[in-house]
Amino acid sequence: MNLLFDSWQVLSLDKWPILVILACVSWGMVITVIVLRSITDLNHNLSEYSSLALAGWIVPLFPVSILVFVLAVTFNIRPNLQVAIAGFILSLGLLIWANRRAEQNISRGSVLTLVTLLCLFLLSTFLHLAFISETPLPPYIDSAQHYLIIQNLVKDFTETNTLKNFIWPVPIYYHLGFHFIAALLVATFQLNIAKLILILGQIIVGSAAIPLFFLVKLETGSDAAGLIAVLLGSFGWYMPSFAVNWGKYPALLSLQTIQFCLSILYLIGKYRKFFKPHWLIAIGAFSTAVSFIIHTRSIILIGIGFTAWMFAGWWRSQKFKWRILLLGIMSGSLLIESVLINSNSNLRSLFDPYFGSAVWITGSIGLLSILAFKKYPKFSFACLSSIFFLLLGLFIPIPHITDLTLLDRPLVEMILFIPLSLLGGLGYMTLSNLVSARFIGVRMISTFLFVGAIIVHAFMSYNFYPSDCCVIVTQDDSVALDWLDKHTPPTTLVAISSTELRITASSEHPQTAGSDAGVWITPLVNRPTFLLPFSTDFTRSDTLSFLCEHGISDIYIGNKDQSFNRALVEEKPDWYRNLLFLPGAQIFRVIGCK
Amino acid sequence: MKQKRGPIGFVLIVAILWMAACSLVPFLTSPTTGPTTPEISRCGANPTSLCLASFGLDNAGNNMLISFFVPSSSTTDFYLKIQLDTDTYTYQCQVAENFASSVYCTGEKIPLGSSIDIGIYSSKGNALIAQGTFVVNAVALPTPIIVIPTTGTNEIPPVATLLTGTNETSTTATSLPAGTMIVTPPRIATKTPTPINPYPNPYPNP
Repeated sequence: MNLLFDSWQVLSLDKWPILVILACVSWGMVITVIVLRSITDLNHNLSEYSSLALAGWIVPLFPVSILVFVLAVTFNIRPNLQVAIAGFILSLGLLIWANRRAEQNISRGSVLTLVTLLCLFLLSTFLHLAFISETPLPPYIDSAQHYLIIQNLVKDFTETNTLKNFIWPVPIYYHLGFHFIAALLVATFQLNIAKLILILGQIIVGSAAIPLFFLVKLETGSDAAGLIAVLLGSFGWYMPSFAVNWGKYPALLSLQTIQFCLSILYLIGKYRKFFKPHWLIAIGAFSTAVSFIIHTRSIILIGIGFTAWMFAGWWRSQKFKWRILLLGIMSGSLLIESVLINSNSNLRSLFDPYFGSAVWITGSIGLLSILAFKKYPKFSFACLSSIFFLLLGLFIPIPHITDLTLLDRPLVEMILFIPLSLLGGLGYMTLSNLVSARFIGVRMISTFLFVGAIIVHAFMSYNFYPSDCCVIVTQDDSVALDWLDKHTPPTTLVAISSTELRITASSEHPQTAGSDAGVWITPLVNRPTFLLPFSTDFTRSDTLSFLCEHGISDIYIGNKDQSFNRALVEEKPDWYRNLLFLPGAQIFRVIGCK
Repeated sequence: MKQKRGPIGFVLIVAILWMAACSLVPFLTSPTTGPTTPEISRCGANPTSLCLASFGLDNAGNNMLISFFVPSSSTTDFYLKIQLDTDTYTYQCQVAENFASSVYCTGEKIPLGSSIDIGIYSSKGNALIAQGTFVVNAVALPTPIIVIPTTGTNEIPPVATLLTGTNETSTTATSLPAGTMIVTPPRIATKTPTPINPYPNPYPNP
């Protein structure tokens, strides 16, 4: 009951940003369907189009954000509510115009399927809103960076007069698709940045698995199989929704575009015998570019999907004995990869979401996929080999970049649900075909039990609230950040604790990132910060010299395992003076410089 | 049949009247007392109602600081009246920007270990919103004794001011654009612990 109450409370308190985001999603979906219908000969039903469009809504919205940005910084035309309404009316005109061109109306298909898909999306989104009731800021360290980028872009949207004045929002950050869209919404509808990130994240999570319906439906022709895949992807494992705890918003958004691109690739393969899919190729290429800008590594993931599909086609063309041999080699390689991952301390936690209490779901899919190979060998092999390539990507270094590999552990952990859910949908369809039509009751009961078990599992083990692991800003931090804002000059350089990010197989030169609420000082308080290792020994004289040399005047100490050690700072009262003390956050002034 | 309906109906009417009476008793027996003032307590792990989060020290202003969690349904426009023995202290409160549920109040320092009665009063109308009794704890003692030159504002002067009494600012600091983050090699770090796995999964694994 608490969950429903909390979700309802968020819905009633934040109805405006929720409405704005849902309106944008709907707009993007309508445009996607119109474009697909008007420039291709595709004729799918409403359920199929809806699931595909829920993956592709971002594709038309991204160029709009860029267009509005250019208009803002070159012609001083600022985004506002009136412009947004005018754009909406203009796109409605496009809708009417395109509908006149379309020869056939969209077939409705099964109403029950459409309603089920819609309910799954709305229910999942509604339940995930409870997350926002317990955190005023998006969690973990990445979110502070996203906040800062959006904040800087909003300034460009609303203030910058010429492109010359445009400054890249933050150094060493390259994919800005998510941020451009978020900044557009903030600037146009006057939304709070933190709220927007949180709500957009939960809506993305609520819709993350819906596009799975499209591929499974097209491959099997079954609505039920498609819905099983969606249910598995939505509630089977705690991924991908748990990734909001990591602040992996661009990666989460890219899950949508990746699924859209893969669906378009599938359509190209499916229809190339019937018509020349030039426009589909163009849409696929454009979507891939958008996906690349949203999250750079998504191009690798789309490449993996494409390669796996081509590889599966080649595999399918081989003689039976060779196919069996290759399948054996592939399975053996997967096993070796799993062993290697388990033996690497940086990668070991990759399989956590898919085992633990969800092991029976993963195990069931393992069994179902054996059946899936019987009826849908190419698609099943493509899923299996995509898992193989995903895991392989963790070990392939990117040339000329130290320690970076093609893929990192969190991203692979987030995306594994896609091939697994697809396999689950295909396996379910094969199983239900195997059960003779005479035993339709058995089929219905077993489906009901499987679906029921997934739902019960979700309610027993699924956590819709922020995880303790990743909430870095406590109540005391909120006070300390506000205090810092009101009591220090804007030039105050604050030392904040940092840690090493070991998320790739190699760990010789790990990346560094802030490790407590100090990362929010720049985005919220607009003070420059200086990252120091969380294990910095503040009692050493060379530490003091270092602080003095670099003009670091304050030290922020949060309350995480990897915050600075307060005892070390307090040990030197002649060097550091406590300005603010709260049990969970302290600010010290460096006073020992000569 | 009709004879049986009479007693059943009577019993039902009595039961309904009894239940109605029970629910009305609290209102009937205490006509002079108004609604009771809610008690505030210390915040738990995931607070949902108004509660006291922590005591702290604002050493720069030489004040004590008390922070509260305030749910979205409650007003954040309030001040505190703190009763310590015969003395009454008034604390002014403010909402932490960007954190609508976080309010902190500052006022005169109160000795550690004191038992205080806190009354929360709305700024408009001075109505008592909530009250509670607490022992002041978990407050660190201020460490160094440094004389801070008065600057005339409530801002803490930069390091240079503290040391020289002038209003110079660090050139390194000013040359840095807001948002610059510099990564330094861990040469001043102690040999410590292995960093915790980043992007952790929930533990225990559900």
